Amino acid sequence: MEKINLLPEDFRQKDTKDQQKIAKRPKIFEVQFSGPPASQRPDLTSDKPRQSWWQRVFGSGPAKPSKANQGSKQKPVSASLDIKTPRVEKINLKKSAKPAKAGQPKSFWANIFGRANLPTLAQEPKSLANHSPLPMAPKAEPSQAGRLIWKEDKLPVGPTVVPPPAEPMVKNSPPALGSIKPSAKVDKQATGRGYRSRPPRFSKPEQQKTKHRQAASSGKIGFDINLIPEELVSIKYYSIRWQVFIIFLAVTLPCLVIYGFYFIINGEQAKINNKINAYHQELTTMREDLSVYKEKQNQNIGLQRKLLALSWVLKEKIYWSNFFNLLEKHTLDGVYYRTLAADTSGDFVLPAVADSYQTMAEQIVALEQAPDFVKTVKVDGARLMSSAKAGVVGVMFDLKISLSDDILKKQQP
Amino acid sequence: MPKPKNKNLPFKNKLERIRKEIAAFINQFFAPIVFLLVVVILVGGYFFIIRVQYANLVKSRDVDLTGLEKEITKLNQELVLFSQYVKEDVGFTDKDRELLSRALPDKFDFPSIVVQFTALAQKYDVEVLSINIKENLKDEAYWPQNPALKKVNINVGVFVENYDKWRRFIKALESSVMVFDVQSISFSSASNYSLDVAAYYYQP
Repeated sequence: MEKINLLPEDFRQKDTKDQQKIAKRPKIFEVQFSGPPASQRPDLTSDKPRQSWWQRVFGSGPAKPSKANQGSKQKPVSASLDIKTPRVEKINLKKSAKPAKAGQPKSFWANIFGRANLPTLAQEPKSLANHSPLPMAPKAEPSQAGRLIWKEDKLPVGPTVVPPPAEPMVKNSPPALGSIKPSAKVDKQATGRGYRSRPPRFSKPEQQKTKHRQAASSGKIGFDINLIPEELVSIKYYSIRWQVFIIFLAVTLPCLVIYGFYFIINGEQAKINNKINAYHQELTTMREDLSVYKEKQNQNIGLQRKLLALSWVLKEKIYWSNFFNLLEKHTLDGVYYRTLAADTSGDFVLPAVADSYQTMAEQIVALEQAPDFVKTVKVDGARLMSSAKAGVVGVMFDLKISLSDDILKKQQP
Repeated sequence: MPKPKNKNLPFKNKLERIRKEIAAFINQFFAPIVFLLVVVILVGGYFFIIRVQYANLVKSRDVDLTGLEKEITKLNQELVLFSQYVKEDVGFTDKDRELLSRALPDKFDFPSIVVQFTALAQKYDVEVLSINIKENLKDEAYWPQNPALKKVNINVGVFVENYDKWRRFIKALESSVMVFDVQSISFSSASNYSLDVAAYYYQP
C-alpha cells in the first residue's frame, strides 16, 4: 500500500514531531464499547495528543466517530481494543472512490473558523485482503466512500478491529476527487479574470504559488491534490499582472500627488521669484535715483561745510586797518612812531618821538582816555633826542600798549 | 513518478523554496505592502521634496520678498525726502562757487597765492621784496570742528614809499577775495615793512 501524505512539508514535519511525541506515550489502552450510556462514556479523544494548529483546522488525527458509528456503538458490544495512537497512515485514492458526505452543510464562517478535519480515505489493508471484502459503497452512499484504518505501526498484525464504514468524520469535507476540476478551469470560472485562487488546484508546478501548493506538489505522488475546503480556497489573490499593475499604480499615483504638490509649490515659487526680480529691478532704479540725489546732497553738504569754514575764518580774521585808524585817531600832532612790531596778541611796544615832554604827556593821557583802543598804556624811558645839525629834536619814549579786546577783529566800516 | 535525482537539487530546491516563500509572503501581505509602499513614497516625498521646497517657498516669501518690500518702502520714503530737498534750491550759482573756491581753495595752491598777493601789491604801489610760504602742517587741526580747513603761513617783505600806501595796502589785503590774515606787522625803517600773513585752503 502506497503511503500518501497530503500535508504540506512544514506541517508534515510538525506532524511527524507530534507522532514522535505520541509514540513516547503508553500505547495501549482500553476502550469499552459496552458500558455506561453514551453520555457517560469516556471520550477517547481526550487522550489525543496535543494537536497543532493545522491539525485543529484541517484535522490529521483520528476522525470522530460519525453518526453511523455512534449508532453502532450503542449496540451492546463487548470488546477490548489495543490501539496505538490512531492516525491515518495511508490513503489510497481512487477515482472511483467517492468522498464521504460531510454531514449537515455548514455556514461560510463556520466552514472557515469551524474545526475541520482532514478527510480520511482508506482502503482495506493488505492484511485484511483475506477477509471477506467489504462491499464498495455505491455512489449514492457517500458515507461509504472511505474507511478509517486503525493501524499499529510496530505490531506485525493488522488492526484488530476495523470499524464499520462510516461517514467521513470531517465537518468540511472537500468535494469528491472525481468532481474536482482542473485548476485552470476552476480559476477562470470561480475567480474571474483579475484574481487567482490560492492554491490553484491541479495547476502546473510552476504556477503553484502557495505553501500548500508547494507541499502538495512536493509530494511523491504523481498528481496534485488539494484538500483545502472550497471556502478557504475562495481567498483570492491578485494575479501577477494585477499585482504589477497595482504596484505600478501604488508608485505612480503617490509620485503624481507629490509632483502635483511640487508643481504647485514650484509655481508659487516662480511667482515669488518673479516678484523678487521685479522688486530688484525697482530697487536698482530707485537706488540710481537715490545715488543722484545723494551725490547732490554730498555736494551741498561739502559746500555747506566749506561755507561754515569760510565764515569761521572770516570771523577770526585780523583787521589791522582798524588798528591803524585808531592809532592815527589817538595820536597827537607832534608825535610820530619810529618802528612798529605788532602781532595779534595785542601787547606791543611803540617807540615814539614827541616834540616835547608836554606833548609826550598829552599823548599818554590821550591814549589812556581811549578805552576803545587801549586797555593800558605805560611809558618806559623818556629821553631827549638831539642831533648835531638841528640840536634837540624831541623826546623819545616807548609806549607799552595793551590793545582793547577785539580791536583787531573789528572790521573798519 | 520519482524524479531523477540531481546533485544540485537541494540547492535548487532551497532557492525555489525561498523564492516561493517570498512569493507567498508577497501574496499574503500584498495589500499591506502596497499600502506601505504608498505611505513610504508619500512620506518620503513629503520630507525630501515637498517639505524642502515649501521651506524654500516660505523663506523666499517671508524673508526675501518681505525684506525687499521693506527696503522698497524705505527707499520710497528717502526718494520723497530727497525730491523735496532737491526742489528747495539753495541759490548757490556757479559764479558763487567760483568765488568761493578763490576765497578758500580746495588745495594748497602756492602759485595762486603768489599771483594774488603780487597782483594786489602791484595795484597799491607796493613792491614785494620777498615771499616765504610755509605750509603749516602741524596746525592741521586749525579749526577742530572741521579738520578740512588748513592754514598756510606767508612771510612777505615789501617796500612801501609812504605810510599812506602801506595803510591802503593793508586794507586791500583785508578785503581781498582770497583770505589773507595778517598775523603780525613790523617795520624798522621808513619804507621796509615785513608781514606775516596766513592764508587758508579747504581740503576735505
